[in-house]
Amino acid sequence: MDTTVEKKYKFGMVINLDKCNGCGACAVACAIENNVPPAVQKMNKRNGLTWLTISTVSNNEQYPQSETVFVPMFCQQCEKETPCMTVCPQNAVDVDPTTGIVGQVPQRCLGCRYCMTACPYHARYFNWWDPEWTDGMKQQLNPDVAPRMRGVVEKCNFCHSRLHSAKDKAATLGNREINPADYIPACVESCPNKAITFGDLNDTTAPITSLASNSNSFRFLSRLGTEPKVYYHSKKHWVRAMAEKAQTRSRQADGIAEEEFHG
Amino acid sequence: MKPYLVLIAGILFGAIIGWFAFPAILYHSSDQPLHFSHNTHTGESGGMACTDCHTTNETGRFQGIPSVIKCAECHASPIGESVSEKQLVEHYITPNVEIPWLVYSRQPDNAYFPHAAHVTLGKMKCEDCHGPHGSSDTLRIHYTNRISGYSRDVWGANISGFSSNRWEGMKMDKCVRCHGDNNRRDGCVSCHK
Amino acid sequence: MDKLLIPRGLQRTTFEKFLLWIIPWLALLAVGAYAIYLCLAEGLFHTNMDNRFAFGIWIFLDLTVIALGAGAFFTGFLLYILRRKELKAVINSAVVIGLICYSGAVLVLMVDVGQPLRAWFTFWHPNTHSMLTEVTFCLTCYLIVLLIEYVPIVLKNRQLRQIPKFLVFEFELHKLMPVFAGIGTFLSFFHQGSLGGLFGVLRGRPFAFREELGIWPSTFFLFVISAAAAGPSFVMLTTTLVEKITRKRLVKDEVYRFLGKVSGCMLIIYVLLKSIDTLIWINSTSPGNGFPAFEFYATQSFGTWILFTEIVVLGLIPALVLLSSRLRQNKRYLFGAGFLVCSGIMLNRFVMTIQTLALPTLPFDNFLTYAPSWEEVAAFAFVIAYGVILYSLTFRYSVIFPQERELGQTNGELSMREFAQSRSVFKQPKFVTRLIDTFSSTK
Repeated sequence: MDTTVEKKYKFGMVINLDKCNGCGACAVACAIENNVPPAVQKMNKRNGLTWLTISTVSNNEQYPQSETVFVPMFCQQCEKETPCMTVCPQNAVDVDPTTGIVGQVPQRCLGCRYCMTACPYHARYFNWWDPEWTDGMKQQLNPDVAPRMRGVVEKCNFCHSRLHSAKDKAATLGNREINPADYIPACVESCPNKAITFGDLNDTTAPITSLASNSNSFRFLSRLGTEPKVYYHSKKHWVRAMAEKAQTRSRQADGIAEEEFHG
Repeated sequence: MKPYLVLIAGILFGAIIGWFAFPAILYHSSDQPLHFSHNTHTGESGGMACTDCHTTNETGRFQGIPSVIKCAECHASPIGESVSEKQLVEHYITPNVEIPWLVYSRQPDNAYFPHAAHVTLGKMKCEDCHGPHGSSDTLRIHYTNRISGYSRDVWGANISGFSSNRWEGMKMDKCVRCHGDNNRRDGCVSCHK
Repeated sequence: MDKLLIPRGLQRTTFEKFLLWIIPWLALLAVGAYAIYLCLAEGLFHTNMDNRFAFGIWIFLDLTVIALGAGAFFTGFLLYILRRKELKAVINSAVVIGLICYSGAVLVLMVDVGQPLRAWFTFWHPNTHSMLTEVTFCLTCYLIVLLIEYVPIVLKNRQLRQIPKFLVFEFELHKLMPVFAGIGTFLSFFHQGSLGGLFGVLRGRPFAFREELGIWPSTFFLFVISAAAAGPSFVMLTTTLVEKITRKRLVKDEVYRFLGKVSGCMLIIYVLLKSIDTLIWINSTSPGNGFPAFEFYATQSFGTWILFTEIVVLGLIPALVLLSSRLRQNKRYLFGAGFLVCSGIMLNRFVMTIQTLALPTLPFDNFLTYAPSWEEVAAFAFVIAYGVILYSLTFRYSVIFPQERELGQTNGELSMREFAQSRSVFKQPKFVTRLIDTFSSTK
């Protein structure tokens, strides 16, 4: 029997916020790829299934200094003390030792939502409703991704089904290692501005590795010590300062912004 | 009546219910739509290999049971005398209708099993998981679990869950045991989609 | 029929009046049952929880009732392990309240989770690192212990006492009570703690995250101690409430004062440790994670007043009142302080659940609000109604307060000893008579 130890990947992303124009193509591609059911009427921003959300962050300056960035936010694939994994009572969450991807098995999930409470990025989503597709939409379901049922938690897993496909392809050719070009998550692929770089952070020659260690790259809430594998990148100082400062916006600041808007 | 007799009778009754009545109720049995002999094809007269029909495409995706187009390569018109072959040609090949086979090894939606990785890289044989299916003369009765809808082959024929042969039962435990024996390091999503 | 079930020598209201009392609660129970049905059958979208406010009023109230139900384990611990005999007067009441609180909490939890049928997964595939695993295991086991402790109370029913086998069973069970009290204490210690740990381990929520002591975050110990403080106070409050409703004296005053003293002792330890913990959190844990602690209170509606209220108004003040033997003499102070203790624990559980979730973590995020839907409120009202009904039935048809007979009028009724003697005429086996004697003498 074959006892070769698999290559250890550490998949990560760098999102160039200076290139992101908030078009939302990534969010749409993500939902289609991962069989996220269409929204029901009562769904809103807070209870809908959105593996990838895009937030608008402003520097709260007045015109002409006013600037805005769009921050795509999804599972940051924490490497260390992964908050959601340690709290799950029945091992429905784990960090894949060979890829670093935080996996969620909805079929094991009890729906206690403790992981959602634990996640500092609010990147986990609960199926408050029964998922329903119209007949036409059922035809478009991705066979590589199992649909989820009501009452379980789901989240981004870096389009893990695409890693399966890449591995399949490699295996057919007798290779153990995937061709990096075969494994590209849907959001990365769909971005018209090529704002997202995806790759293996263990691979020193990959473009992502140098980009991630660039001084303009940063991670949100890095001081929590969870070592997320999704990096953000911006040349703008205020964007990086915003990420460093835990809480910049408060209710007061919102109030001022609103007053200005109305005035 | 003596209490220990009641106890023994109770245990016996429970065992009979659990061993015989419960599986009979739990599984719904149905015949395959068509008689098919693997042996005729793979045996001396046929001489075919499993992979002649059950192929993997260029992207590594296992194709499962072949379509009637594959059957038509040889059976465009009957080449023997058998009734089932006649049925095959009349009902399926000529009108180009797929045969509604009942798959013994159908896994739940969220299970991901790459044949390429196991067969090409792992050098596993078909028989390791599918047993002597490839040399069988008839297709067995398909037992469907009334609750889950999966074939009994997933649990295994033995209701206790123990199996003497490696191919009996296709539960996650089996995968995990073999992967453990071979020092594989997996995450949940390595095999779940 | 009803009359035959009412314990001998005790005054109970008429059946009609009892029905009038029960029916409104039954109505509430029905409304709650409908809400629970909606959540189970159609989905949790009937709640106002969402992906950001994943825990709502249910978890908050579960934590609260479990803390308040701690009276069962702590009273049992004091009575059976530390041999504080005076607590015999309230142990049954504490057990019934504990059973109600725990079974109610488990019931609501089963509605709260998205896939209740998978609850057994936690036992089959447990993640031993998760606080929730520990909570699930201990809650289940402790609920069984509470049920066992509840059995003798049911068996105190007059008709059930007629059956000799039950008497023997109750007697044997009674001998085992210290064992169950010990097990209950052990289990309670861990799940009360783990409920605190539930939030203390949330590295991703710097408002709740606490440093570890050993393998547990400090909230583990704070929850144990605060539950031990709240439990006796809650037993005290419910008992006096039952006294008010039934217009009877059920428990001697010194028992109340003792409960108050116990509560005060535990509370002062809690306040001390909580203050130390808060200081460490403000000065080290929270800023270490990139969150200056006062920003949590800076501009939100949950200002520092909430911290002050929790520690001083609802912590230090009732603790000092309960610890003063002069103030304890005054029932108004005693029960007032008990009420403050329970409110303080409730506020603490509120802060740990609701405030933790309301506070943003991401820099561009906002403070969130949440208000429960009617289904969430009704589902919890179900538990309250169920509790009231269970307690009322137990009170009416069994003996919860052993001192009731002594404190009430027993004119014309037989005492236990007389009752036993009268029964021995009817060819009662001797050992049963002896058993009844043993019981009677302990009363």
